[in-house]
Amino acid sequence: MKRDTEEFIELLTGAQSPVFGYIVSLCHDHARAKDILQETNLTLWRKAEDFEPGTNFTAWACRTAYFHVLNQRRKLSREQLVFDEEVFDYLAERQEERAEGAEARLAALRRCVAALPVRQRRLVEERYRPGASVQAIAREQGKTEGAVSQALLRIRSALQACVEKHLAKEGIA
Amino acid sequence: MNRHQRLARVAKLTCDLLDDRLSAAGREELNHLLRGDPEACERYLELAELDAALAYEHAPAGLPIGAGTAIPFPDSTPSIDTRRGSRRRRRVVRNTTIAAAAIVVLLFNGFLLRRNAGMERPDPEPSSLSAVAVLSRAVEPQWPQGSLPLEEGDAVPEGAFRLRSGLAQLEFFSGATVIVEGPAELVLVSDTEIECREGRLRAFVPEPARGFAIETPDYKAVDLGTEFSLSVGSDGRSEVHVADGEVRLDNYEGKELRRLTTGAGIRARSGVFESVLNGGNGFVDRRRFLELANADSETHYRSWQRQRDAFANDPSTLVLFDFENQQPWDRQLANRSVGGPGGAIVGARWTEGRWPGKGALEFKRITDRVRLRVPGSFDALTLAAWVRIEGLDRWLSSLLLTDGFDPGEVHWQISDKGELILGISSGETPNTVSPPVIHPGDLGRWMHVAATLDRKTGAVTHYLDSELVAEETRDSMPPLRLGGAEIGNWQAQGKGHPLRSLNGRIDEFVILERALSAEEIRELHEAGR
Repeated sequence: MKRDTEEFIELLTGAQSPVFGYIVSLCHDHARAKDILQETNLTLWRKAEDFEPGTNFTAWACRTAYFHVLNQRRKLSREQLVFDEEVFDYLAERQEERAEGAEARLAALRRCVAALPVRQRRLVEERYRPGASVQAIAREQGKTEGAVSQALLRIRSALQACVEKHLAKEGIA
Repeated sequence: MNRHQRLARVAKLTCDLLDDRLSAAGREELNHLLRGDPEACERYLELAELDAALAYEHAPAGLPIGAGTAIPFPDSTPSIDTRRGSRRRRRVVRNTTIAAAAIVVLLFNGFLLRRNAGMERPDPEPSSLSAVAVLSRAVEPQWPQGSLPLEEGDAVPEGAFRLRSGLAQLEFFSGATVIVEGPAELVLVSDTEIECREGRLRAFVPEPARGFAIETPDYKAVDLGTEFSLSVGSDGRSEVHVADGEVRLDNYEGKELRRLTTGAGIRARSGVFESVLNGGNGFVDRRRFLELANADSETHYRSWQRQRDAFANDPSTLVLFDFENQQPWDRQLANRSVGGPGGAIVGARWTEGRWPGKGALEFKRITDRVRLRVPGSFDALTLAAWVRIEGLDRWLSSLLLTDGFDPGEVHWQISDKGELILGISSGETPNTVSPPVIHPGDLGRWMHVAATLDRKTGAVTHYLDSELVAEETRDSMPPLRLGGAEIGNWQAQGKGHPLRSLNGRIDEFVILERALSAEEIRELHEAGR
């Protein structure tokens, strides 16, 4: 192993969130996505020598993740699948391209979440607490699932708009 | 479905998918909507990525990465500097297994770093000012330089809250009340949670607010009802005492450390806890606070009375309504200016003013008003009043309006946008209008409004709480007149003019036949606060 371990680890660390996003967009299940991310990390480490320094690490990591997602997808029954092959492949290709800008979007997202009204921020925290579900939140708050889901939809749309605004200001988007 | 509806539908289905509540039919529909539609795919990917980022940020350290892998962790795990651009080069790790374990450790650490920089603890300086509490009372508060001084009744936004000295009582929207003794530095996280970096607090948590939490460097104190005091010193040492009820101390993983009941207390520093019994007596409780607050308002009340007496003897005082020492059935408003005309109260009811025991009139119904007659013409005027506006219901709300608007007559009013307006009938552009200075947050609090007019200099000014908010110089001004006039309303002219009745209280109204200087206005405001 002649390559620089430290540099490689830095690249790998920096790519975690974008690659996780890539996997979620294809398998839309956080628990499964975490497993796939872990498998992907190990593969990337083993194949570290295949990586050409100076090329796009995130894109390479996404392509590696793609095979793990595909593997996983084969184990699912037809009912568990959401996207047909054509849609799946388009999404995979497009999200790999998008992953490049994910870091900037994440930084903007942090600011946008911090700026949310308290009530909305609390709902975000509850929803994304590990093991949380819309069903459980609805039960706790005595609301319908539909109402909680609708509130989350509004928050997500607001966050997305906020992220775009931030990036537009910074001249990235 | 048009384009917009189609994308909205994609967003809805995507969110349901991410929330694990999309039916088989919904899945099919989403797939159908995305097929061959790049814009729809983009919408889906944006939301999926956002969802992943939020999940990633909120995951507890160590859970997602490294879970489920069977890599043994060697005891001598190399510690690796993760700082970007670090010049230190580490020896290359030779053993793949150890190296893989190192990645796990490293990602774990990276995760922690990101989490701390990330969303868990929002910026103490919020970019959106959502209020979490009301400053219900304050005793001689000193606010740090550079921060906006808060007044009683002001909404307090989330984020940093600092008090240099004095006492402040915060009533949180959750129902909890906290008395803060300065010097204090707090971060108001929400209406149910605050962080105490330094200061002494006394918290009262009634049933609806149960669970109200105060963070200290060593623990999070969660009130299970009803009253406790807590202090954090500048050295990070903290103390908590339960005056009544029960308090649970949690660590930052949410694990319970211990429970304290009435009379119990804990002193903590850097994770070391020590029991203290029957402490907490030095804290200001509600009764003591009320005593201090009353003494404080007593002092203000007296300083105001002294100033009022000075104005009563000032020969330039035309009208001095202090709304004091009057009976509830009085319909004549006494003018304390010697020989000055009294006012006639129409409809308006007697109520409480700025301090307990201070009289005021309440203008509520559209017919409520005070009529007065001030004969003569003047070269200068000052109009000043303490008012508590309850709502700017109408296009114009009257402070003082002459019955007509003949040359030299004066109209002083507030617009529904919160602008102070002073009109002098004199031909073109009679009005001097301030920017909107009375905001929704000002409703329900006592404010000092003043206006001056001076024929010699042509100057017309507006003051709000002694701050000059508008100034204009006029080329000419006719001799100023009041004659028959009304406070808090406008005599119906029978010309289809809309109503201008005031919604609020007045507990002081002064008219002088000279223009007070900015300094005098400041003194007037200061003495009456």
